[in-house]
Amino acid sequence: MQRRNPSSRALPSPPSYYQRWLTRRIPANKKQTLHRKNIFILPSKTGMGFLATLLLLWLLGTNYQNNLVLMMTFLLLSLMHTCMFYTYAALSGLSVEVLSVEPCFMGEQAQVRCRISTCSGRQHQQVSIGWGDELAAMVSIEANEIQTISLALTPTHRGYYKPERLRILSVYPLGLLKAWSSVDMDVDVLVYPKPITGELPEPRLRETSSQNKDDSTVMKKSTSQKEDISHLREYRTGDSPKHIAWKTYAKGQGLATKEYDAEQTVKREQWFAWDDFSGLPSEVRLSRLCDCVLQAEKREMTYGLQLPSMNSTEDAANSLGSGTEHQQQLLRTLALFDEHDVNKPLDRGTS
Amino acid sequence: MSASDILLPRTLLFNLLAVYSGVCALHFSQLPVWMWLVSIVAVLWRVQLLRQKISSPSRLIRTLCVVTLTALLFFQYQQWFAVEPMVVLLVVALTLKLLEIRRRRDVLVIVYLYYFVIACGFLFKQSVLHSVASVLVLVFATMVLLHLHSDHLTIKKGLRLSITLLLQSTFLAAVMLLVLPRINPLWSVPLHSGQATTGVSDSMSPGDISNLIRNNALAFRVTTEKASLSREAMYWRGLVLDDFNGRRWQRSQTVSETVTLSKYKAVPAAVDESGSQLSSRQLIDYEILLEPTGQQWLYGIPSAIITKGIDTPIYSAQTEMFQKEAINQRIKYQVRSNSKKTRDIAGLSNKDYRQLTYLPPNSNLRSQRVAREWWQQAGSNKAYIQKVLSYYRNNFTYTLSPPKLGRDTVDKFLFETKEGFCEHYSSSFTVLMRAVGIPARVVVGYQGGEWDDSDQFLQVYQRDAHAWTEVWLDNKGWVRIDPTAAVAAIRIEQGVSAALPPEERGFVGRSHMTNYRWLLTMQQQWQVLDYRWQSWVLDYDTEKQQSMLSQYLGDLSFSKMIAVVVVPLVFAAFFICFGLFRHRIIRLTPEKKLYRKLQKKLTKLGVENNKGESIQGYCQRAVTQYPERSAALLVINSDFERLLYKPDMLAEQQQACFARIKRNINAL
Repeated sequence: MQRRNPSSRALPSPPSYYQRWLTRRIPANKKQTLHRKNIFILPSKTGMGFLATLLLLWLLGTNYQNNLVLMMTFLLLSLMHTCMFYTYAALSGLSVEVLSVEPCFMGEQAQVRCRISTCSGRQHQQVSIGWGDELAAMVSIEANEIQTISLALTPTHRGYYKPERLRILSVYPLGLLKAWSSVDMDVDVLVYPKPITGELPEPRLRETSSQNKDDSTVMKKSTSQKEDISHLREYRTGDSPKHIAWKTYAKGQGLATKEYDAEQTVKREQWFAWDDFSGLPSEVRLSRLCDCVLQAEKREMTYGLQLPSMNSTEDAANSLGSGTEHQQQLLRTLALFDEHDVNKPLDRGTS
Repeated sequence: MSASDILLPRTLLFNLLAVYSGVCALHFSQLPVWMWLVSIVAVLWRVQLLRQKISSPSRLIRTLCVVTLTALLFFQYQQWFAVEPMVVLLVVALTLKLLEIRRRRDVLVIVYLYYFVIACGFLFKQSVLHSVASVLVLVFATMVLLHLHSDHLTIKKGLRLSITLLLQSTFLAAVMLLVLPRINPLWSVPLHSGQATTGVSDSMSPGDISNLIRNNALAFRVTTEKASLSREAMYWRGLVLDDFNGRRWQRSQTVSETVTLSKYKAVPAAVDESGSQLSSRQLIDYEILLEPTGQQWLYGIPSAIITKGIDTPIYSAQTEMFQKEAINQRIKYQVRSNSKKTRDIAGLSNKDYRQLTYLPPNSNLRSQRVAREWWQQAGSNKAYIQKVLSYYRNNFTYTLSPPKLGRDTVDKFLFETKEGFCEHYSSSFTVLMRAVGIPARVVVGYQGGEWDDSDQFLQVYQRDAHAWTEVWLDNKGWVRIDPTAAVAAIRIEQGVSAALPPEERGFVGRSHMTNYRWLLTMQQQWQVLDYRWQSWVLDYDTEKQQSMLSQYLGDLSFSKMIAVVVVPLVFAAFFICFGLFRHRIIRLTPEKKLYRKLQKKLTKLGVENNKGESIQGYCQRAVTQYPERSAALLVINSDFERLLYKPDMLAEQQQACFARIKRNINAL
């Protein structure tokens, strides 16, 4: 299975020294347990304010040579020291394991199901868990409890999307310090193109065996173009005007809608092609194709995809079919479609 | 931490209000009355806000509040650049902030302000009680922070966690206080802008001292050896009053004039000599811990010089002692006195003589006439003084509730009522002296004191306030004469209450003869505690720190300094971690320990233990993988089973089993 980032044309900037260090220190894994090697701890903004207050207190105590003020200053400073251990303990022993990742459409949120457990024998309170800068979930977990949560993430591109490192953070108990860990959960979310709704393209003829993509002669549908009208029924608002039996209306018999039995009895068969949407930017083409696939499945059609990158008949997606599995197959093809394959057909050929 | 608008839990807000009330209570004496009213209104408003009965104050009202309160503050305090108005300003800011809490950050600002204001409280009061109250408020303020970061915390749990956190922090804090080097004050800001005064004042009219005698408060403590101080010598001289208007004694030169005029004066020769010329036997060294008086003068047994504790002691011509600033905090100073010495001064100038023999011409005429008669009868100053004293001794009664004296106070007292206490005696005696041309003046201060149970320090109370007389004798200089002693010698020997008639003893602040023995003991113990608090905690300074460090650590070397820093840190960390991570320390039975060992060994060999797998299953898996080690493994298996499922095994058999398993595991 190819894992690449098809739509990002520019090379990603080389990882910073910190990123490389982080990768070495906390390697990717589906299950991450927090311990002293992957928990970082520093004063938070609140803590800096606290320290500033303490500085003022110390000045007060020193200027008036007042032991009680000094004692209070030291007590609060020491409180921060104590909190350091509490904050660390709020994360230490916590485990996060990725259970499943559902594919999603571009523009939607993907839900990553995670299992959170603890082996510390302590309760962990107010732990915030989220991908990078995304809105984090607040989790409180009792000793020896196991929780399953869904972590939402918003992909920024189509294809396999690798989210930022999972950020697990705690400021418990006083907010003076923050302990956090940035763990790589080894998650790849398959992101389908964003469907753009519209009419299905006019069906085109295609010889199933033909590899010739220039052949675009219109072919008959396997079922008759002139569907037999099975019966007439009373008009309901929302019915297409095309299907209104104008003749009967002219006879003064009121509005009636023609009902075809073609869709019900015989499966429609259609290939959706890259060239159906010529003139549109390629991402929009993919979005339209994605919508076609969704609509086709909803109408229980038999459908297939014709993309420039499809070069062989062995490709499972390169066939007509129907059903959820087929749909997912096609959506995956769309998700992973690489434009470079279109623009540089020679490269592909030589390699 | 995001600063976005959030719904703050109600417990947190109520807690915030509770701490606010606590902080205000800590500053009870600093806050002006109107501030109390403002605080109460603010709290009520906030409570109504919480109950959603009224809306948040509008911008206009808020601005009006700020302007009004600032104006009030401005009128209240003439001097702005002092800590006291600043603290009140902070409390005002807190009050206003309380009404517009919207975000987490507002709460944070308030809690930090709380911390600061609590600390400011220690500048004004340092008693044990105040400290305990401050710690309580601190606990609750910390609880607010806790509630801010965990929403589902009950008050009880929050309180427990807050106390635990603070308790766990005390050790390191104490070490820091003891060990961390201190630096000198960086700048100085006066603490008060004018404060009420207590204790002996700079004027005396009938009734002043009797009011003081009802006061049970501590005036000062004296630390010295008991043996060096006899009760008769304990005349704690304060101020000299030399101006009489017929009723009221006061100073001819006000205290502030005296201090400014004497500012750059060196120690007067008379006082200075006392240190050098006299043998050490006649000298008494002692330390005085003076409670705040709001006044500038200091007490000591004449003739005294201050050896330590006051930066620039000022000595007046009357050999009183002053400090430049008003005493608004407990201060401590060391004094060297020579009680035996009668001072030789060059003599009195004509101006002084006039001042010291002056009597208002139209008052107390009868006394003046009688005085002249007696003097003529006596023939000499000395005999005259004796005659006057014996007049007192034979005719007068010591009482705290004398009859009212009319306009000519001395006349009426001397010849009609003949009842009174020290202020009457010293006043009338001085008048009698002046009437015949003997320079005389009234001295106010304290007399006597009470030794604590361990005889380490003497406590002088306001009820020991006293007035006596000093007369100038040509060949002796100033001589102290206490007419009260002539009337009631017991006043000097045993204190005020002993000298009073039994029915009046209740007037005195506290009596020796109290019926509640346990109350007395408790009071005494409290005093001892207060004294220890002062000497151990409040007086701990750089000097004591260095002496303590050198006492326990000897010469400071680099490695010792590192140890002083590292050891407490490690100790504190261990202490805290034990509480936090103790769940991890699981006590294993010997069987489990051995089984762990087996697991480790087999895992090394590549046979990992599955969860929930029995010993037998595990061993069998190992046997299939390592058939050559099957013998040892099977023995291990059977031994384990015997250990676990045969509880009636003998101790020796058990031991043998353990040993065999161990051997076999090692052999694997």
